[in-house]
Amino acid sequence: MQAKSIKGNTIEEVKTAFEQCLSNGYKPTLAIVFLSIKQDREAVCTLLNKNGIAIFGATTSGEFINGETEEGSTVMMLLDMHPDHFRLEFLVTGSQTTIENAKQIGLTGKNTFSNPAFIIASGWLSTDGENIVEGITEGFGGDVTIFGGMAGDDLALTGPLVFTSGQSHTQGLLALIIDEDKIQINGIATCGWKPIGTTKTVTKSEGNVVYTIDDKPALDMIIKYLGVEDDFVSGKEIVSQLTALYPLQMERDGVAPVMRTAMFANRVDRSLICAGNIAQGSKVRFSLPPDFDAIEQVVEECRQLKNECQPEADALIMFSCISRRLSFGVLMREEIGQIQELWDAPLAGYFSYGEFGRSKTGKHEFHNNTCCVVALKEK
Amino acid sequence: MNPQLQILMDFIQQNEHVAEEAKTDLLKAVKKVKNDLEIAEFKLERTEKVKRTTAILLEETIEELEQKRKAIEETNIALQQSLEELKAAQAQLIQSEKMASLGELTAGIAHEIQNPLNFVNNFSEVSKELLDEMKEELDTGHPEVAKEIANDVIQNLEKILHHGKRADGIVKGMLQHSRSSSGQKEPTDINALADEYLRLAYHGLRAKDKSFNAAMKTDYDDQIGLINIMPQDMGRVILNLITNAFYAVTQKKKQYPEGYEPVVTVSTQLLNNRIAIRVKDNGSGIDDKVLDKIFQPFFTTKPTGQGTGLGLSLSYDIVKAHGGELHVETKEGEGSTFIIQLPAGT
Repeated sequence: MQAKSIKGNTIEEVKTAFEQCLSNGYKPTLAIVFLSIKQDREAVCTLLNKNGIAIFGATTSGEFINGETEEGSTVMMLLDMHPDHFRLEFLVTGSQTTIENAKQIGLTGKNTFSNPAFIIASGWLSTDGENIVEGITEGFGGDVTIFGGMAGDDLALTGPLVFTSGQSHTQGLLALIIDEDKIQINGIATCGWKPIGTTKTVTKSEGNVVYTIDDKPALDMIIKYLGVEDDFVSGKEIVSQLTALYPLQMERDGVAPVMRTAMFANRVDRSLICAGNIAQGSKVRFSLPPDFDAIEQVVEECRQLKNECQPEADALIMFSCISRRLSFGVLMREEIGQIQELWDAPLAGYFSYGEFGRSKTGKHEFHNNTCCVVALKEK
Repeated sequence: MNPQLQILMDFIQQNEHVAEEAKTDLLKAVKKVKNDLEIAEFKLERTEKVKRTTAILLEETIEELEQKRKAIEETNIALQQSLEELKAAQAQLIQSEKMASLGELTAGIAHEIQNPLNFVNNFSEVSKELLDEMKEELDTGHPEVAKEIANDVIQNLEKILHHGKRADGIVKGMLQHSRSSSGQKEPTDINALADEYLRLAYHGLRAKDKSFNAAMKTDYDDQIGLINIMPQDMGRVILNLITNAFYAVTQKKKQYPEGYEPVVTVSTQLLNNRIAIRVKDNGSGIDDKVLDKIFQPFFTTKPTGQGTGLGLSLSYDIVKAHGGELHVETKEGEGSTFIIQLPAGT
């Protein structure tokens, strides 16, 4: 399988790069497209549709390609994967719930391949992250490989969406179902945020809205424990100012904690709206961002994956939480660059609002503040 | 870009005396420096930010822990107070239980005292008559007769003294029962103790209910001798078991007025280096459902107001404190035997 990655800041640049790719007789069958909401998505899709290329697409809060981070652009990875080895499924939450859609995707995978893997992208479904993993697993009928990310929208936090040929939606769930008997897929999910302070209890919450922590208004707790930033209380969106660096860690018995980042603050009822559900009664702690050597840690884990499971890759896809970009800033280039150099394969990825992947507990979950790397190789 | 680096870059690019290849290398090096500088500046800024936030978070956490510590201290103090109050309440309840059992004894004790008092009165009256007679004999010049009468009076007075001491002993015993135990063990005739409380309990119940009647049987092992126990406490235990046994047979008698003969047996035995004191009744036995509760404080099968529910619980604790065991063997419909076992070294 041959993969080629291209980028462009305008549709014309994308077209030029695309045509250059095809000039040597290269015939891609699948395009992994990550683009900013500022880009002309329709034009990109039209270009790919004209060439009969299936589309797995998501909007982003920044994208990266081959070790370089971009903003407001389009990145694309073209793959000439055999059409029999993959299938795309696109469903919208509406008449059916997200979990029902996820189950259907799981079932489709089961009915299509005996050994499917799921690479998924979801729209603005931040209360349904866990349901997506649960649904796919249930639909398939057992534990199955799931990696992916929640689309971004340049931190506008209004409507990230996923798209494929002829379809797009903010409430969409897009799955690239791959035959693992034909395509080797391995991945890791790494976080690195460390807990600090005492354990607190989410005393009132509903879905992804946290009202009180230790019976005190959640927003006031954030202000108290993390300090008040300039313009903090005047802005509704808080993730870029503060909470990306200091997510809540939700503790669970016997398994590693999972991150939950507060994205919005409601100044009226003093609640926090998080990028993922936090059940009432959950035990949480504040976190400190990882040390800078966490990047080496991610690269080292990828190296271990390479040595133990996947020595070669034809293509790399990466879903990295926007919080990591805000936390690591220019250092993200180092991380992405080193990962790409490890396999020396084309890499495409984006900064997301949530990630799906297998954590160190071995369980597939919905994460925040996490980096998921997926390596693909045709057998 | 850093202005100084920009100057450097511009200089390199515009310099005509530098070979292209060298220019490329130099520009590459400058770009690397630019990159490293950006990273260093970013790291510094983030470190400062994180340092500030961490300091605030730690301060708040310290304050939170301090508040929790204070709350725990206050809770501790409140718990201590509650504990003291509970101990005081427990002591009161135990005293109430003692008084209640003392009340049970009152009629029996009154009966017991009545007997020696009768002797004292009777012998005193006879002695008075004898002294009158003695005076007459002295008046009539019969000193030898008067001497004989004096001897009779002396004998009567000895009997009065004996029965007076008996009454004194009974009152002392009653007082001891109402007082707290000194905690000191003393050599005690367990057979005599058991027998005394058996009779006291019996007479007590008879005085309360004239219709009450039960046969008492005893079987005391003389081999036991004196044993080191706290007599007030052990006496309380034996009294409690006997009272319960009488209650059980009384209840059964109410159910089966004809053809049922209530019997309570108190026995002692020295066997296999252990002393056993048994109180057996032929009542209705103890229901399986309550068997594991009977030694629990405040548990009673008696109607409200008739029992404190502390008797067996206190008895259990007293026997345990003596290094012994208190347990029961029972059969529904046939009766129960409460067994106190004490080590022979007692």
